[in-house]
Amino acid sequence: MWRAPHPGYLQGVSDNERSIIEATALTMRYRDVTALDDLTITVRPGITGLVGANGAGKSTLIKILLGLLTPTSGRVSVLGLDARERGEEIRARVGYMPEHDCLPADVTATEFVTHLGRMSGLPATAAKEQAAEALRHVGLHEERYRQIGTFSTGMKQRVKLAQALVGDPGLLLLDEPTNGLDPAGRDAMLALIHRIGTEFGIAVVVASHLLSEIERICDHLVAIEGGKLLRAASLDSMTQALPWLAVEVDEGTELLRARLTEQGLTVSPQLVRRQLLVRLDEEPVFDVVRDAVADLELPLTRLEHRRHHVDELFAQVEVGASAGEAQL
Amino acid sequence: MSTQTTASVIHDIGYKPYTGPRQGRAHIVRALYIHSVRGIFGLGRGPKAKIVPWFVIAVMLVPAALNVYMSSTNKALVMSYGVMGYHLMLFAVLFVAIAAPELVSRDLRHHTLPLYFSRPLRRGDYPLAKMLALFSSLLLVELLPVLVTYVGQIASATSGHEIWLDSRAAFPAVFVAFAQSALLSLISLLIASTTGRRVIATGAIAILFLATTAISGVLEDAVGTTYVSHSVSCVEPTVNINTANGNVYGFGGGQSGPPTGGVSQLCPGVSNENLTGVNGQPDPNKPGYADLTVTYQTPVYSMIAKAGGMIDPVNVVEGTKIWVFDSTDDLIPNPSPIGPLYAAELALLVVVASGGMFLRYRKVSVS
Repeated sequence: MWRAPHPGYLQGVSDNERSIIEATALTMRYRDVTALDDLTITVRPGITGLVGANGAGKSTLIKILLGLLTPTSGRVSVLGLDARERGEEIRARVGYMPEHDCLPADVTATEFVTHLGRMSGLPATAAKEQAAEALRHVGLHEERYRQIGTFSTGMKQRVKLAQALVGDPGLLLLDEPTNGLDPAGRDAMLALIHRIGTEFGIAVVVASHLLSEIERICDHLVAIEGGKLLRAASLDSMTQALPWLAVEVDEGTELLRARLTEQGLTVSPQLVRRQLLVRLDEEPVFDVVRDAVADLELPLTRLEHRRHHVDELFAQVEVGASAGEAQL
Repeated sequence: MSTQTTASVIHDIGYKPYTGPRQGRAHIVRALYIHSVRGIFGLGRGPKAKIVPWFVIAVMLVPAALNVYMSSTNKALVMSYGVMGYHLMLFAVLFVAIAAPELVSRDLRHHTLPLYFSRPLRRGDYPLAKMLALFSSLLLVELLPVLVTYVGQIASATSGHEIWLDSRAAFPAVFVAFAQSALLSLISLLIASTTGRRVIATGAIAILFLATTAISGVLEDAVGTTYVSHSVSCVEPTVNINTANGNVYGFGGGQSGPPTGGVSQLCPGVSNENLTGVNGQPDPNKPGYADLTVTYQTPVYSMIAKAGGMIDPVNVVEGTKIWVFDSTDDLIPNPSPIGPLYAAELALLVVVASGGMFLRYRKVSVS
C-alpha cells in the first residue's frame, strides 16, 4: 500500500472501512501487451476517482471488475464477490456508464431505462418505477417521455447515468462521465455524481483522464499509468481548505517572493508558473500580501484560499519525492 | 431535505433504495426475448413499425380465409397445405428482412451492446434471445395459414377419416413452417448482425433469398429438363345432375372432351400442366359416361435440376419435405435420390447460422 509522504495532508486509506473493490496483484496480459501490471488497489465507499491517460488500463480494469475479462493473475473482488467466479452477481449489482454514446435515438427515455432495468433483473413493474425514479434523480423527470434522439448531449449523458443507476446498484462505474459536455453541463454532471455518492450512499468509481475535474468530487483518488498503480490517496483532508494562500501575478514572482519572505511569511515555490503559495499563519497574511503586491505594483491575477490541487500530487512522482514534500 | 417558504413547501423525497426482488439470468433472458418479440411486431412502437409485420400477417390470412370458405362449401382448397410454405415464402422473406435488422442492427448502430453485456446476461444469452424471438415470431406467422385452414377443414369434416386425412396432409406444412422459420430467421439474423445499418441489412437479406430462389429456379426449369409422354384413360360422367343434360362437354360439337382445366378433377394423378391432348368418346358400355384418353408429359429432371434447389434455403426446406414425407407438389423437382443431401444441408445451415450468431457476439467489447 502506498505510504503517505506527509501525514497532515495525505492519508493512506484506513483499513477499518468495508471495501467495495479489492484488487491484489492484478495482472492482465494480452498476447504481447501488459494492460495491468501487479495492480493492488482498495476502493472504499464514497467517490473514487480512477485517473489515467488513455491506454493506462482503465478500460481493462473496468472489464475485469465487471467479470467480463479474467485476469492473468491476481485476486479481485467487487462488493465482496470474487470477480473471476461471480461476475454475473456482480453485474447485477453494479451500474456501468460507458464512455461512448450508447443510446438509441428512437425510443423514449422511460422505455429505454425501463428495458435496461429489466435487463438488470428487475421485475416488470419494479423496472418501470425504478426507471422513473432514476430519471427523476438525474433531472429528466419532465422529459422522460421524449425520444432520446431529441435530447442534448448533456441530457443524453444523464440518460446514460440513469440507466446505470436504475435498480439501486451497490457500485457505479462511470467511464468519462463528462465527455463532450460544455463547462456548465460538466459542473451539473459532477454535482449529480457528487450527490449520488454522498446522499444516495452509492459507492462511485469515476474513471477520467481529467484529474482537475474529478478531484472536485472525489474522496479518494487512484492513479494508474501503464497498468501500474501510480498513486492512491484519500482526499479527506483536502476537502477542507489547506492553510495555503495561492497568489498569482503576471510578472515579478521572484520579487514578490523575496518581499513576502522578508515579511516573515512562509512562501513555497509552485509548479504552476507565476504562482506562489503562502502559508496562512495567525498573521494577517492577506493584508501583508495585498500591501506587498500594491507596493511592488505587480499585476495580481489571482488570490485564492487554496485547496490542494491534486494534479500536483501526482506530478510529484515525476518531480521527486523530496521536492514534493518540500512543497507540501 | 425541505425548503420552506411562506407560500409552499417543497419536499425532496430523496433517494429510496430498491429492496424488492431481483431476478436471475433466466428471467432476464426471457425479458429480452419478450422485448424482442414485441419489437418484431411493432408492439409498443409507433405505427410505422407495425406496417410490415401486420401486412404480412394479413397476407397470410387471405388464403387461409378462402380455404375456410372453400372447405365449408366442400370445394377444393384455394391453396393446398403442400404449397403454402412455398408460395407464401416471399412474405416470409419480407418479414425477416424487416424484423432481423430491427432486432440486431439497431443495437449495433447505437452501440447499445455494452449496456447489455455489463449486466448479468452472458455473451450467448443475447443472440439466443434474438434467435428464439425471430424464429418463434416467424413460426407463428407461417403456421397461421396452416392452422386456420386446418381448423376450417376440421370444422366442416363429416367423418373421423376425413379428419385423419386432413391431419396427415397438414403435417408436412407444419414441418415446412418450422424448418423455413428456423432457416430464414437464423440466416437473416446472421446477416443483420454484421452491420449497424438497417437498410443495408434489409437489402442484403432480401437479395440473398430472392437471388438464390431465382438461380435455383433457373437451374430447375431451364437446365436439362426433358419430358416423357404418358397416356391415361379414365371415365367421366356426362350427365349433369342438376340439368339432366346428357352431354355436359358437348361431344361431337367440335370439342372433344372436357376443358383442359378440368382434367385433373376427373382423372386422378393427372396435372393440368403439360397436357398435350384430351380425347373423349361416349362409353358404349356405360350410358351417361364417356371414356377419356388424356395425354400429358411429365418432366424428367437432370441431376443439375435436382441439385439446383440446394442453392436456395426455401427449396432446401421443400426438398427435405419431399424426401421426409415422400410427397411432392411439383413445386420443385423431386430431389430423389439426393433427398438426404437436402436434409443434411438443412441441418448444417441451421447449425452454421446459429453457431455464427454465437461466435459473432462472443467478442463484443463493453467499452
